[in-house]
Amino acid sequence: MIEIDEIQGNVLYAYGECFSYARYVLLRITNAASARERVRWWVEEVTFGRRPQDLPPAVDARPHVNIAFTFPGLRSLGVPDDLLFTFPEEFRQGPRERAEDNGDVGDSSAEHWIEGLGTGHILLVVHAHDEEGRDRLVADLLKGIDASMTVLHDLSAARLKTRRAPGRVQAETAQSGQAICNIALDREHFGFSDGCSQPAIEGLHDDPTGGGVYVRTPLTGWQPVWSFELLLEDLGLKSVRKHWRSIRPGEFVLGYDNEDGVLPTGPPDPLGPNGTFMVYRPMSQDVPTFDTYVADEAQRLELDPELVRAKIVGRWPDGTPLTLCPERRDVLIATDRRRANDFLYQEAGNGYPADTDGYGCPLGAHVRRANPRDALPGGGERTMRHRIIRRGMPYGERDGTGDRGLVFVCFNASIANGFEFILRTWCNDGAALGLAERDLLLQQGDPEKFTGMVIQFPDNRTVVLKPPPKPFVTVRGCEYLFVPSRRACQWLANLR
Amino acid sequence: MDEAGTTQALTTLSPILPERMRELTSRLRVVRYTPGLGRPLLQLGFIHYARWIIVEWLPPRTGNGGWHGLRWKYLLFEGNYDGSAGEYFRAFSDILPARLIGLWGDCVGFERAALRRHRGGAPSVQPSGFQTFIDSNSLEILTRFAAFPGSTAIDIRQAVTLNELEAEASREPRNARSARAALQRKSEARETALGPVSPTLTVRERFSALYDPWKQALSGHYGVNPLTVVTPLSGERADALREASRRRPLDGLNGTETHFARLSIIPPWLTDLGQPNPDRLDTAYLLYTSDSWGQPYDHIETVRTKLGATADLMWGECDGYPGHDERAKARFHAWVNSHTLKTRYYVAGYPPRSVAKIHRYLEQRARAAERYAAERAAAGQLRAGADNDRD
Repeated sequence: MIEIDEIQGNVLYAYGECFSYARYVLLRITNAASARERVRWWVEEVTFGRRPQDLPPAVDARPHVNIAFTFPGLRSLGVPDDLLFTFPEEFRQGPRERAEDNGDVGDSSAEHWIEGLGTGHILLVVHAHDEEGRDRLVADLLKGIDASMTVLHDLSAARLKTRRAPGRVQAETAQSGQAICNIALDREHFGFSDGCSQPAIEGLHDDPTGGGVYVRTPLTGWQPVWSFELLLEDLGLKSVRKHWRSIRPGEFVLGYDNEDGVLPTGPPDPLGPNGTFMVYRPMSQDVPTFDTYVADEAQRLELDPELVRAKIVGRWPDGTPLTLCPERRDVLIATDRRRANDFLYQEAGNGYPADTDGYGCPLGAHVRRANPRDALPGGGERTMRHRIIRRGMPYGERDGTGDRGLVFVCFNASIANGFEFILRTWCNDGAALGLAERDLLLQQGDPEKFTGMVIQFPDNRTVVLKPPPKPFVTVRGCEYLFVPSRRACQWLANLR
Repeated sequence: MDEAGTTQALTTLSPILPERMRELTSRLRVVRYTPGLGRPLLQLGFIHYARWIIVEWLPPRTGNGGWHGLRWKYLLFEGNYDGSAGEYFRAFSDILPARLIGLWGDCVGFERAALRRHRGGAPSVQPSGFQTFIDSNSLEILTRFAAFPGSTAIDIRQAVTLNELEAEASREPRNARSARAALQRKSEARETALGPVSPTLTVRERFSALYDPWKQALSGHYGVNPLTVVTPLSGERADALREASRRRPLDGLNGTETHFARLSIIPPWLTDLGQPNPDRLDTAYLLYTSDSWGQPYDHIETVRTKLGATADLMWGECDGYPGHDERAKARFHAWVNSHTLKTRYYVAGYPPRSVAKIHRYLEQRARAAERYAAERAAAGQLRAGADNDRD
């Protein structure tokens, strides 16, 4: 049973579309004693255990505060060494030391990060309905902070809303036969709906379809029967029976069994259980370069630019998966989170064929790399330890000329198994898994080794997108943080 | 465990429960001679080579090539694979628990560490427990050699497939049907060259995965053959080998038909893993293992001629070792053969090919990828040029 009320808000359940404004304030402790006083006060303000159904949207207007600590932050607050060294290695090392292995080189290298990022102690995150409410609360929280901390980094973010053009709505209405009007879509700056697929967690989500893992159904019954069944499977005379199941909570929150059937690495009670690790990673998006690249490649290859965009990502901009709809987007699927996630790559499903060869969603597409579902040799069992909860939000103006991008935020019980594994093994490499290229969207790592991307079509056509002239995304900084539980927050606040 | 390039190496030695010995032996015989039972292992796509050996005797420190029986029998495993060790263990535990139990379930400590029984169903394997079991049974790897350090098993499989497809596509078509087939092969070749291609086995590969191991097991010749030589090793010689390992002594195998080779040490205490009445070895043992194209005789000759000084360092202190001189050639072969362990089960991740051929296929694939990409780009530019002319 997950102790939801002990876990900080926004971890297991997102605050939702009403909370469209966020601010991320990174601080460095200058005076430990007064910093502890300040943390004691902030902890009172932190939201714990918020469920989506807790309050009706009209009433639930209070901005939410969350707090997270880096390893140096915990040390500065006075957490004893014997506890500090129970934290996993990657958290202790921090993102600067691991930047190169994460592919943060060139313009994304730690030396080019926003000043202060990667060296912070405490991250305060505020989510609010409106800009004024958010900024008012941040001002209150930071009032008189100079005696204990300095602000290293302060980033405001807000959801980008796209209203469909009237003509397009009519066309979709005619196509689907249903009236769909005025739908506001959350998009990031490249124009894609973000955060479409989130993990289904055991004890939290009733329906594992799409969000869970697609694994072998346990063999039951009389031993000779299942032994024979296994033999037939080994010989390829019978296919393996599989089913969707939720992912164990220990993959996301400390203090619960993970997919290995053991507790994830972390400090003991009261500091560890119900806490989680957060990756905070603002990434700048070069929209003009991406748009120009897509337009040029579309012209060169005689393809629809919308299709080129979709093939790079693996979903149409509105979130419709290419595996379900390779030809065109489908607003009915895009607006139904369950349907938009109810698909596999190796197996055919309800109304769609198997996409083993990547004719729908290319084998190297971003979403197929970040969450390969059953696409890896061996199936869903290969992915169930490498899932993350994402809570990103765009920053910067949609059409502005200034810096804009995405505040990538994710939660996982092991940064090494979650965030880092996905980035290093699937996005930046993937060779051992049959993926010869890098993720075209991220293009992290050595610029000399930028790769293009192969797109295969059912009619045996194969086209190759050229390597982009420069990466579309630049990492502006990164922090590995620990998000403590209610009990842990109180324990930290009472440190002497 | 040891890492080199994209491949990793693992060698373990596990005492077998005496009451399960007969069962394990027959199981290894069945999987060896039943085509297709190796298929699930290969489908994981990250194994280059793996071997299972039952160690029943070891050569004594003194004596002339004789062997002395051991109280316990041991399962020796050696594998070369891609990716991280954690991924490897988890994939085995989650995807092939029955196979894992079949191979290691009869060893001391496996049940306690990793096996989970479920009422009314098949048992499962706990990955972290399996890793603990493997860690406690792992041998120290001194040095290793890999002929294709930058290529994964899937890379090599795809390169071999591409070669076959291109060869078929280039054959003169005899009729319309074979012309269509050639066209199809050409298209498949292009996809394989450009990659990434689906890591799942093609129909052709599935057939090969069934037929080839069966044919090889029956003949006892795998195309690429395993060799396992075990010899006593004194503490001083072990230190000398450790020192020499820094200079990568097995690199002398470069340019030969050796796919992989490694030196590992069986320490004297490893045979005591908590089982009652364990073997007390009076010395450590050195394991020289290799996977090489051709007959074992050819590989032993390669070791003699290309690794002469290293061979002397490895085996020079052993009784009866004749040295690597040309004059002692026959005795060298006989001596190595007398210290060779028989492989019970052998798995290869790709079709057996010589090292030279695989290098050629990998280069061919890289060239083909460039060619196809350039063709495509040129076609795009031509079209763009034509459009501009029209404008």
